[in-house]
Amino acid sequence: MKKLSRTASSLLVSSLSLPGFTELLAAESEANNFQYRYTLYDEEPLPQNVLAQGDPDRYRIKSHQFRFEQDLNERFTLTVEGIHESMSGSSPWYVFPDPDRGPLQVMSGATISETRNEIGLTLGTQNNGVTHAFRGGYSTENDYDAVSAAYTGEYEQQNKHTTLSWGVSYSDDRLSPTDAELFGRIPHAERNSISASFGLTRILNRNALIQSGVQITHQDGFLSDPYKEMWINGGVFFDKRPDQRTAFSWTTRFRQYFVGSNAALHADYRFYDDDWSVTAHTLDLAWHQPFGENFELAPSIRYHSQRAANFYQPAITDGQQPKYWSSDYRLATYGAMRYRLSGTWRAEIWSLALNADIYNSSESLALSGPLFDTPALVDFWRISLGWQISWQ
Amino acid sequence: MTLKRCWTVLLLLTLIELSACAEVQPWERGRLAKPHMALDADPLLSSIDAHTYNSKEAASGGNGPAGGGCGCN
Amino acid sequence: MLNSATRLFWTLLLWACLHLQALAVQPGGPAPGFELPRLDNGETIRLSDFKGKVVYVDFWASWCGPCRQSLPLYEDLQKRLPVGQFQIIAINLDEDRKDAEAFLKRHPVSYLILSDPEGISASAWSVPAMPTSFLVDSSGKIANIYIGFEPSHIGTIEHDIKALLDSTAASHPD
Repeated sequence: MKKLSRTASSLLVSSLSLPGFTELLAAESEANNFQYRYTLYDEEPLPQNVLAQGDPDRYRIKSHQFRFEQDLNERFTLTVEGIHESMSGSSPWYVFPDPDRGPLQVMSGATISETRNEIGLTLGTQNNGVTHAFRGGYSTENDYDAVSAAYTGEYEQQNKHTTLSWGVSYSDDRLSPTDAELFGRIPHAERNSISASFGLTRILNRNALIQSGVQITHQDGFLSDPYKEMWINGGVFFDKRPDQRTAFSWTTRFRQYFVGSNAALHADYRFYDDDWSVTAHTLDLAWHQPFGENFELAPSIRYHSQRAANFYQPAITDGQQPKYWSSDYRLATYGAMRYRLSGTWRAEIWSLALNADIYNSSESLALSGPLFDTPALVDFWRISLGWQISWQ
Repeated sequence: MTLKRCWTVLLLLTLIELSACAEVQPWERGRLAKPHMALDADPLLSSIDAHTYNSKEAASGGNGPAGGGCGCN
Repeated sequence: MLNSATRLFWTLLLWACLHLQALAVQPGGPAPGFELPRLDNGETIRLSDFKGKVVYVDFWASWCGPCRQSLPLYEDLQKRLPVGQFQIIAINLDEDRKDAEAFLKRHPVSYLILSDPEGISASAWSVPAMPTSFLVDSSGKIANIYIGFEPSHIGTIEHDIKALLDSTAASHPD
């Protein structure tokens, strides 16, 4: 049977993924398959000249992902997926406005190794030319639990070469920050989030297709980071963000085939906007070049630019008393470049992929937005190895 | 803000829908079916990418989350 | 903004794009026929060569998932039924013959494979989806059209073929 398209089911992998957009492939039914991927993520240490205090060695994460997809019968497909991650390293706490040396980053002491586990189960089915998928997910780590549910649908109009897709999802998260009493952190908090998406995929001609869609998300509850703080007029206070956030994103993906070189160009653009005043543009360009029957090399670059949340500042020293505040560098104005090289080996029933990434972020790469000195902007490298086997 | 944006995007989606009426026959879809022409050829890679960028940047979506467990500091 | 003639032109173009449909080939009507080379040795084969036999014409390509599933099942079908009266002819629509050849090297079949990289016969037969197969009776009329493929369809296909074979035998008792 025609399975739920790869994109729709794959996009539901972690509770961080949502019903999004689906894939239009000519009469393609996916084989049953099992996939595994190992990823090593390593952040560059905080430079000594901007370190105020704490451990400069930042995050290192090792992840094991798996995914199993099997037709139960002609109408139903089951997908089971999971991730096991172990994390260690220190993270930024707050920015100290040193009167002589400028803004310096205070880091936490190195964390003990933590693990996160997530599992998701999806049931896909087809009825009258419409494909539906229902997913339930659960993610847990020592200070965070999340339960999620999602539904996606897809309808392919064969003659018009168009596929419509839609989805909704919901997530309920509970936080229990570690060492809450010791550091005066909030001991328990909750947040939930609901999201809806709609998209369209269209074949343009024999060599090209395009997909475009929108997503709206609304979050409610405790949205601050319980571990982060901010220097305000001589005192240090816990991160305080609004208790609601509404976000809009619009993503367009384009695929173009070149007959001469048997290569494919991928161009993806996402526009993001929310009511915290964050606006972001993200562009991902990749060139997929096959060599011979079984090997493909794909270099790609990803450019991301965001403008700061309206309550973001590194530190406050001028006597302001804002309603909300955060010194979290992830809410600052900055731009980032990610360089990637991927190599994939494909045979009829298996494939192996190796990906290497370098990511650099900097205030100077931002397109626009209020600029601050953000000492904690992170650089990282990532290496990842994936393997897949399929059967009828 | 958001509603107006939605309408703009829906209009653009409609234009895409009506555009490029080059009639592609069912047997002419071989190039689009090639693995490197897929919209998402590697779901686990896309998923971990989304997880990484959603943890380290302020933006999300397009693959999109509904909240989610993240030990992302 | 646009004058009437231009508006009319764009409206008609839009209408054509949205409603253009190939004329369908119908069961009960005559099979359009074909004249194509064999994939293996280039020998020209015509549908008319098989008059008097029941023919199952399958349009497929190596890049189509259900097509890949169908090949071994069709091979079993060809072996089970009397070759003197029934023939499977698979018309391969791969743009590059080498893709079909590589695929068949890994999954060989014994029935007839023809090559139509430009899709001329697919157009003539108004193939609506990949794969599509046509059951042609011994007098050259289309008895049935099967759009898409699921392994469970084999039962129905075999049943329809046997019904045609029986009716052919009934009208030709010798």
